[in-house]
Amino acid sequence: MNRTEFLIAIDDILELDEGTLKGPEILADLDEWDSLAFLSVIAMADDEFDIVIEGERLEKIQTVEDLVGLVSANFSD
Amino acid sequence: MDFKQKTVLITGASAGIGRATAILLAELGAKVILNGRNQAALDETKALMAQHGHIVSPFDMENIDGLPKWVLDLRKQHGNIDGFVHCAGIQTTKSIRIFDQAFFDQTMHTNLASALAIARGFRQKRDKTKQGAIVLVASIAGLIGQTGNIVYGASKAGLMSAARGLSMELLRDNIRVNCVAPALVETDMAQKTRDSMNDAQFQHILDQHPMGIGQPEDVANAIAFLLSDRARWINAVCLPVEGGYLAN
Repeated sequence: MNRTEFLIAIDDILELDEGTLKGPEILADLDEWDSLAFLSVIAMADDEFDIVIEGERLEKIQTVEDLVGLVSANFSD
Repeated sequence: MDFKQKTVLITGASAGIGRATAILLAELGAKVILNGRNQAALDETKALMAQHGHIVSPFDMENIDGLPKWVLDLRKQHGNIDGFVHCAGIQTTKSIRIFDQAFFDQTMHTNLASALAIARGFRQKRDKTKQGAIVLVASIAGLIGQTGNIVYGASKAGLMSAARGLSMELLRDNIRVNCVAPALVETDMAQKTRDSMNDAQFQHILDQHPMGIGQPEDVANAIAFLLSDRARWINAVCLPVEGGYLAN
């Protein structure tokens, strides 16, 4: 999974149209960012990258770009 | 409770409730066949057990059609198997928002279908003059609704239903089938759940356990009882082992 595919996966979790998220968006400003989205991102990272994003780390980030930063070391390109 | 002269097959014996059950049954005199995926972890369990010639037999719980023959081969090699405890299980916290077939199949195969396939092998060609016993480790997740735990809960509810059906079908084989339904128990699986949440989310779970979360030994004690001859007239029940969770 690369950066573009990751952003699309987050679009999917948040039920946004594909290509909506670019990076600078503030998660707390997105109506769709809720506790289930939180759990879904952790599960997706586990499935796709075999990594555990600790809930405490995920809670501290602010933007979609911060979210990308949590997994970018595992991107395929 | 006396398990001398008894052989018990335990799946998921490499950690948690399965490991605690193996240790307890060995203390009570059983010969135990330890199953799991990880040979090294099974060897660790064996090293913690009182010695009665226990056997380590890794086998993949997702190989459903291979399981009955695996059990029959175990019987050929090691003699009659008196008890079967199904602790093998996987849990992933996932919302319905990212549900897919692979997730469903893996959870259902490992948690539910494997129990049925092993039950098929367990009943075949066994000595029916001796009462056999099966204990399936379900979960309170199969009795209540939990956000993000839908498929796991369905698999555990399936186990409870399967126990009732099996208990009736296996009457003619002189096999009892019961379940335990634990709440959150301090295991590697619970730690993974904890890691996937923030403090507030996990505290909410803790607050639902009036007596705190359980230890693997708490569940192992209930399993040993249901498996033992002391429970010879107990069949098709699901025993919650949950420190009052369901009364809360």
